[in-house]
Amino acid sequence: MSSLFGIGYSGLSAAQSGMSTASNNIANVNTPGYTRQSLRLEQSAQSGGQGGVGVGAVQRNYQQYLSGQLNDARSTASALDSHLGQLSQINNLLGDGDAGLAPLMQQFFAGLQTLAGSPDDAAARESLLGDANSMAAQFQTFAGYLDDMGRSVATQMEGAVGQVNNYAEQIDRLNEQITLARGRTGAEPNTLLDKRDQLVSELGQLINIDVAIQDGNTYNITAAGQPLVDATGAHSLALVRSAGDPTRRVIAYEAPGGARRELDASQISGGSLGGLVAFRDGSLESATLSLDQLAHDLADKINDVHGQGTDLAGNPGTALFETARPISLDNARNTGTATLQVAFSDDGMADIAASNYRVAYENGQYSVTRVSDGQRTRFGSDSFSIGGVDIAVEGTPNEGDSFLIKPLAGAAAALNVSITDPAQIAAAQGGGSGDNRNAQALADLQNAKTVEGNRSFNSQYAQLVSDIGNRTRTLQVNGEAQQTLTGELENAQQSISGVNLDEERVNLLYYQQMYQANAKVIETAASLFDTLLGIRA
Amino acid sequence: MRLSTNTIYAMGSQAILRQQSEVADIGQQLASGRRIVTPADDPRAAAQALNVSQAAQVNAQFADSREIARRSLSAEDNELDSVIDALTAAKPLFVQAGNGTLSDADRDSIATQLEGIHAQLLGNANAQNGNGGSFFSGYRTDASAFLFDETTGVATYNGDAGRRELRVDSSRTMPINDTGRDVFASVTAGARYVARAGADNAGSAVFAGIGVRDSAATDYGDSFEITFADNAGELSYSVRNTTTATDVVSGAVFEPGQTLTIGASMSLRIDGMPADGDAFTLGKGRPEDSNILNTIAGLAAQLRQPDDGPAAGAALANTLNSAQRQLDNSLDNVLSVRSSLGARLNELDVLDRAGSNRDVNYKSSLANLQDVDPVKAISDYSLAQVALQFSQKTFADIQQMSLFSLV
Repeated sequence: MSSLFGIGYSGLSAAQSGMSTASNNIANVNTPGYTRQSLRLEQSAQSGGQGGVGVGAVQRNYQQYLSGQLNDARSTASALDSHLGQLSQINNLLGDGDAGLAPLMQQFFAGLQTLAGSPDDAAARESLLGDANSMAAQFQTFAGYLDDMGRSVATQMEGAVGQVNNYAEQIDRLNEQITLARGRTGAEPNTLLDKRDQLVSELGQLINIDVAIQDGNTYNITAAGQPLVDATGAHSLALVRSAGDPTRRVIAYEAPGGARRELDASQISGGSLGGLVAFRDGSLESATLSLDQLAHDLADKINDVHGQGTDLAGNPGTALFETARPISLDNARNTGTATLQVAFSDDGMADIAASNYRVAYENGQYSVTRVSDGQRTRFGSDSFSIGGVDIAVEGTPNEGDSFLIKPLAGAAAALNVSITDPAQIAAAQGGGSGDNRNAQALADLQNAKTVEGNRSFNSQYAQLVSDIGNRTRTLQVNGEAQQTLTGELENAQQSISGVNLDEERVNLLYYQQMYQANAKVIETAASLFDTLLGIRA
Repeated sequence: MRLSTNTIYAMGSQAILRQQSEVADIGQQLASGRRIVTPADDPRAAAQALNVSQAAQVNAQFADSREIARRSLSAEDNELDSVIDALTAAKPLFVQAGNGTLSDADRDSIATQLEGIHAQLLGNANAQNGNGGSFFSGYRTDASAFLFDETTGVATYNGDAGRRELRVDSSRTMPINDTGRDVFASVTAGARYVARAGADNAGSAVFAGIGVRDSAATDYGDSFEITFADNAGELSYSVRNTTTATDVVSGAVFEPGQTLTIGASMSLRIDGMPADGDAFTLGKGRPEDSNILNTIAGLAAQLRQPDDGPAAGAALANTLNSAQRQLDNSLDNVLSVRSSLGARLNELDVLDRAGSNRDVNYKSSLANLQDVDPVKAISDYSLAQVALQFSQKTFADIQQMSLFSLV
């Protein structure tokens, strides 16, 4: 009889556990990272007889492999998404016809053509200066916009790096708590496990990670080839000034002992950090260089032709535009005394590419790498020319010293009109105020193949637009494909771990009935017991 | 497959979001009329559109240049009309001045009329455009084209040979001005020879016939100088080709009324009696001979001289002979400049038509590249709308289905 009570009670309490498990599932139907739990019942062992039902365990319906795949897919999607998010801003800017450079360049050349028609018309001169200033201002605005984006990306990277460190610490803490909880109770700490898996997923959306499970207990996490969480604890990333290019902030790894090692950008391929790095080092850099190339070539070619003419006073034309000069940056880790003097070659304009150059001193030679395509050239002497830039080494380099040459840095931002007096516009080639030959020569530059000797200014701009358009389009398409893949993996993962309310409703009904049935068992036992008591009385 | 409730909702909402963005996207295209809103919509077409719109803008720029050219050429045309009128008005006066029965007073009156014409021509020659720039001074638009010296009565060209070449089409540059030298001090290649008596001639010699013996001869077009010398009572003449600086005839005997052979190409009859040292020149187009301003001023000055003897008579006759030839040559020259001007104006019209055709082509290319095809877009829009409505309906149906509401 007492066993009947016991059996009934065990069923009652198992049904309660079942209802509680179902309720918990229902309650967490929308909780991110929640893994569906199910009750495992087992028969209670009792010597020689029936012992009722026991609650074996509340299990997580979790599949490590699927979750890992999903995390990778999300990491890639997140990278594409953050890259696209940034790039779309430039794409939209270019789509806005009023903000584009093309109309203002056309306006400037139309001004030159008008001047060619009436070189002695003061109004034509004045309005040409106005056109030149508007065009220069638009270059500056555009460059400023790209520059702002670069700064904003650095800020976002800083935020993301902070989050990565935060997640790494939390995961490290959870590793400890999970080990402790398992040791203490022997039961699975489901909530902690869910929490850790959720953090891993969120960390993966910041940076590409590898997860290794040690002893079935502890998550060891590697990011960009460096241990982020391991047996010794959490390690952090930092945003630091690049030794090779102090104008750029890069992600570094803080090795034990505090030394910071710059990570190679190519290692950071996933997550929003990977997307930001890809945007800044790829799309943004390319757009900036292309714009700078356009500004530089425009200023240089116009100045060149302008200098061949004479102004109203009969003096040779001075520079119409001013723009930036090439710069050389020393690597902060250089040990030698060398610095590089850089200047544009007089006749090298057709060679100036939209690229920076890395110069390294190796085995008594200078190895020069064009960053855009990795093409390498070696020079044995201390003065050499590459890509339209003359380079002279001053001082003595040590083996392994390196330098970064930026021929076009800031050209668009620095584009300015140098003359203020309309009379200084050199429309003539030595004749009087009615001589229009140089004005016509300047106007003819509009269609000349000036940039790298093979495209007009407008084609260069069109190339920039189409490059940004193509990159954006590619990201849109890849992003959509990645979203589809992620969606499918999400569905697969959810098919294991997700809560289905109908299913839980069924479970609830099922355990409700089980509860009622077991209550009936107890009632039966009680009534039997009453009967027995009644006999005695 | 087992579906989680989240998946069911996510699938529903994703479908709706996708359809909504499709509807919004096509809606934006329809509202803006543009198929390409940002470069990413069609990068190749976006770049092409930039190139086409630059081509269209450059085309429009050339149309503006043609307008500038047309204004400049038309204004010059007006001046030339006025110059032609003046020269035409001068012609009968030249003829009248040759009438041997005129009194000094009659000649004064003709001189006065010629001086009026001279003043008008000088005005034309120094005309200014709207910017105050001189029309006919070449590149030196800030200077007067001709400087007139009141004391000598000589007008000197003060400009240069600059002709403003303006690009009026992608492969055509056109001069949009002619210089004062072109208009007032030049002769055409086909101009006829002009003979002139030396300013200091003292005899009564008058040149009469300028004959072309052989226009195919190599020295045709060269300038010649005929000088007379008295060798002990016997008058001889010499002919020098001043273009090649060679003597053609030296010290030949002269008879009054003789037709002199001048090189291989020309002949000149001299009536009357030259004095020792008298000279005549014969040439086609030396600027100093071709300046119509100076021709008219010189004739007027000559008409003011009293007719007091054979030398004066000869001087007047010679001046008139030269002046009539020069007037004809100058008129031919101005007419030829004006016809070149007319040809340029015509060409501008032709280029305008070609330009407008190109403009139409550019506009249609741009439309093809950028603009929405309304039929396709509206049909796509309807389709996307229907798809969205289906997604919404499906989602509403599914989310109503719950065991919680049934059991």
